[in-house]
Amino acid sequence: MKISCNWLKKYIDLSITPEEIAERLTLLGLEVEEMEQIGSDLEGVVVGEVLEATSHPNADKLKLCSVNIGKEEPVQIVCGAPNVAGGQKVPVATVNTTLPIVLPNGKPFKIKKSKIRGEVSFGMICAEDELGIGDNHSGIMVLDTNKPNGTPFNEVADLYHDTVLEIAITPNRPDATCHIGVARDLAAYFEKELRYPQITSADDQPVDGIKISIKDEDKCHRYVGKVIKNATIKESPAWLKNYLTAIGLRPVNNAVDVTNFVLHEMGQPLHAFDLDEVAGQEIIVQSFDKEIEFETLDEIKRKVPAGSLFICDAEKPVAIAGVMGGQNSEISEKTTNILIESAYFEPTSIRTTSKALALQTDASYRFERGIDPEMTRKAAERCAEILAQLTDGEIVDGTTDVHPVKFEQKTVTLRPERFNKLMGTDLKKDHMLGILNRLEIPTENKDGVLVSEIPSFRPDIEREVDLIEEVARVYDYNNVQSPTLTHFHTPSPFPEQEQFIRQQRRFLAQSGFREIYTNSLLPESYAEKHSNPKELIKTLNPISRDQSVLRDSLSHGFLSSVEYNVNRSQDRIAFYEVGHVYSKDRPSTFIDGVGEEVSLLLGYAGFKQPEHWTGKKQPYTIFDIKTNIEAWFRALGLNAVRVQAPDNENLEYYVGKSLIGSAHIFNPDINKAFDIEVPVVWAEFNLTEIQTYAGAVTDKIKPVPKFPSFDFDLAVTVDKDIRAGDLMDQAKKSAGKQLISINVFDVYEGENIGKDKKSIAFRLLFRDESKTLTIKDVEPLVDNILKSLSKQFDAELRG
Amino acid sequence: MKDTVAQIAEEIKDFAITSEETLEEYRLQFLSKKGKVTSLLSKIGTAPKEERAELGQLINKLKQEAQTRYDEAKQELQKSSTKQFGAKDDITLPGAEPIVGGFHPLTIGMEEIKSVFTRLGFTIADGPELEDDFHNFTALNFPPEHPARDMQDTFFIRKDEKDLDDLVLRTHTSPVQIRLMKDQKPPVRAIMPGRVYRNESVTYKSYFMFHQVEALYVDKNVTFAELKETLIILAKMMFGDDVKYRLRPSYFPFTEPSLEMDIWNDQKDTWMEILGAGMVDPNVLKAVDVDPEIYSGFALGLGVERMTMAKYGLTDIRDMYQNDVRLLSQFNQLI
Repeated sequence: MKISCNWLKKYIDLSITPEEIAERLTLLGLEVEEMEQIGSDLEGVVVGEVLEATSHPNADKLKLCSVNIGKEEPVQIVCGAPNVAGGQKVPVATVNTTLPIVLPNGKPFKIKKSKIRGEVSFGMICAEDELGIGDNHSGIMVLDTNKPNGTPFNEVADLYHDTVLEIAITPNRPDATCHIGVARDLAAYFEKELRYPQITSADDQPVDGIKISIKDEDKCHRYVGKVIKNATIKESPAWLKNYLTAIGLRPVNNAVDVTNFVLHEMGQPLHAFDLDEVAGQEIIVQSFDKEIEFETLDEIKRKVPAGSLFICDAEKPVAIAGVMGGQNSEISEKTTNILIESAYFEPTSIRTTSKALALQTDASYRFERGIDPEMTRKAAERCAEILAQLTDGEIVDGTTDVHPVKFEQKTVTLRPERFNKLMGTDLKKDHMLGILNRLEIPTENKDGVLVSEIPSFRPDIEREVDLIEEVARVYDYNNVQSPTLTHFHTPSPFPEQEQFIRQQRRFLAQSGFREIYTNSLLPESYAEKHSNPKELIKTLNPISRDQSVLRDSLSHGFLSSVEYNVNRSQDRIAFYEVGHVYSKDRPSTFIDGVGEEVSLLLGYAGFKQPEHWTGKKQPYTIFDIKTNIEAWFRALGLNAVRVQAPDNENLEYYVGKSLIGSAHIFNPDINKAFDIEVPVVWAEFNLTEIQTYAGAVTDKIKPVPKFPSFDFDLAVTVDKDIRAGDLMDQAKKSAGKQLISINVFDVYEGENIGKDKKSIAFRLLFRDESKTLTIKDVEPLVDNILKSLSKQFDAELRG
Repeated sequence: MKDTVAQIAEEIKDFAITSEETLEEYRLQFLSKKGKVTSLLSKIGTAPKEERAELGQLINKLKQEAQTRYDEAKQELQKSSTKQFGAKDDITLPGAEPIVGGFHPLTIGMEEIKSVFTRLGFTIADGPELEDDFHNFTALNFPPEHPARDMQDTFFIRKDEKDLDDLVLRTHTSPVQIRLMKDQKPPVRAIMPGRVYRNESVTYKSYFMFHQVEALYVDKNVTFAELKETLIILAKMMFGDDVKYRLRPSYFPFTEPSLEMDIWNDQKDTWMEILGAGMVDPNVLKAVDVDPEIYSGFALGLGVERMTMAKYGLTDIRDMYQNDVRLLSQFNQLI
């Protein structure tokens, strides 16, 4: 909301700068977000006297002027104006002055000492347009003044200069949505008098000849009408246009401008109807139980939902109550009789209509926050007075005031000791009393308790704590002193999940992965293709379809980040992310029907070894990720994980029957959403679930083995479709406890062992706790392995 | 004899050892069985008896010196020989580019904020990002159809279904306050970090998701003065002891009085908002069955993006989710 400093000064005497006003308003809770200068005080422009004007030696149209600008010596100024002559008093922009006009190159017009056709010029004699105060460029401005040379120009000219404050109004301050409201806060702080506009035309009789009725009293508590007749609609005077332009409103005509003026002065939205277009000269405030199509005065036909409140005449709707008037009853140049509407509409009703129409106006903005219900009539009368004056019209006697729902006076008490207990202050009762009264919240001290009559313009104040805030904000939060004593407490234990997640982040960062933060909202098309649509959770009002489905996996974010970076020439990428994922399919966590769990992703893209003199370029493979996963499981003490390969691009990790994660090779033929041409592998795990297993595994530490281990290499030949993982699982099962590790040291395929065969060479490591194993001990174990492999997989010992 | 010893000592000193060859020459001349020093020993017998002992000592000393000279020269030569190497033995060749992992700047910022509060005795609490209307709005004193709800543009997951509470993506981490206080009676002293969502279009300064840390302290006798002190400690720990700050009144439905804190940005020559805070509104305490006449509390919330970006001089919030390695790889600090 924009507030003009000039306008403010109508209601309060302030001798401080606009910057100081802005600072104080901000500290009072009316945050000034921006300040804008309107016009200029033309600092640097002074009254000068042309002593002599002679022709320029090198240019016919230029003159050399000797100008007295109040300095000891006159200065030389080159001037091109035809009317310049000796003896004139003129405005002179001295060197280093910035004029309030913008040059064609967009830069401000700054006066510099310069040479013009070989002659030095110390400033500029200005025309009206160059000073931004008129359109005249026919010649320099000649001043009719007796002020001495060197007098600032702004002392001899009537300049319009204003500072406009953009204020962010919080929802609890409907009272501050107008100039008087803002002035009230300043008056309270600076202990100044607040000057209300004088209204003289108070008249209790209803207006003859118009009828006003309210059918929907829940939505309209009060409706006041005033009538002006024989009005002349024309342009508003400069003072009014200046005020409105300053706060960003476009002047329309005197009738509309006055309603806007009073709105921004007193906070009461008003509407002016052309009374001759109001059928039957009758106003009926009502809502309909069906949708109504209505053309608002911005010439847009709007579908207004059922239940919205309308202002109707005897035949038809003429305005959407509290939002916008209608085209059909708009003030025009032909208007001579004006009906002024000033009403109190119920906030929720206006908010609902405004939201449904996606139309917020200066009026709806104030109604939905709650305007002052006691201002209705005063504002109508104020408006009528100014309007009669500016339109040369007459106020028709009387004020029609239909007022079915009366304002109920609230009383709220403030215990001074409660204030100090909550605030940690030591403020005196009288100090609090003074602040509240200056805020125009009439307050009395009754037996040590402050009793406040809450004024109608403060609907937000309902409780003691609201009064505490009023006192505290005027006292200034920055004046609250630090506590003299700080308590120490026994901290609560650190939550396990927090610690667990932090540990996993550290593990991955130190394993060489870089953390990423990706979007929680996925493209609908992608999610539906890559997941079961029934398990997905969607937002009802997405920004776009590309950000509409809650992620059920971190993969999309990872692949997006990979694609982005590969396109920017990154060829070695190691990423991890920890984040929430959502599914209807998983057991409910916090909210019924929603499984929200923490997921962890780690992945590689590109080349683990780029081209380097030590060796060839090597791509990342699934085995690199497997190694990281294995290392991670060991760090977690997670040793009961089973791995399955449903196909040759995906691995699944299980604890018992529960799937805890999976690893993947990116296949550009299947996942066409991403255009990535380097190898990509990644794995994702359910961290929420893994935490439950990891917490339970705390292995006892075994002493250093007393006896050495025994290596045995076993190479078998099997059909090519047999999986190494299955062979190893089987070997472990059949070997007994003494087998402590099994690894693959060679994989071979070749014509000599048969086209459909492959050979896998295992290194088996055996150890016994109680003795040194010999070949005699190991041979039967290896025999068992071989037998079981040949039984299960037709494996043959490779000779 | 003594003269001979002195002369040989002089010769040893003057002998230039510059290569393997001259080293061998030196050994042959002085230290070999037939060398000058060795042969001196055999000549001791020819000297007068009374001089023999002294002479023996002299010669032994000379021998030691000659040997030392030899050893040192040999070592020196070996050192210089390592200056010759194969093409791939050149130890100035670069090693492989290291694989450096690291934390996202938001994790770094978040951890920094957490550490301030954990040092002040706060614990950390967690809650869902997908929330119900009760926790996200109603219990936090946002009445239905109140303009305050417009302050936080909301993504809905479920809305206006019969007998079911609306579901939303949480617009702030404040609902965790409610979850916490429903579970635990005061004193409560916790922070609630996490991701939140606002239905806003994406620009350099706004994004539809971001991260917050909220702090809540409820106990008997918690005052606004303590809140202020906590905010000052936070600002100083985050931005240095000489940080310039101000508090100004603001509005949040769940606190009263409410405030926002600004810190002075020297580069931009302007105030910059860093957080919102206030005394927990009595309605919020009542919603979780805590008596506001007995207990009071403060809550504060700050944006991790804003804080982190201010710290590192970043200006475009979209960079936080772009994951450009050229940005991320500058964050190598361990936390």
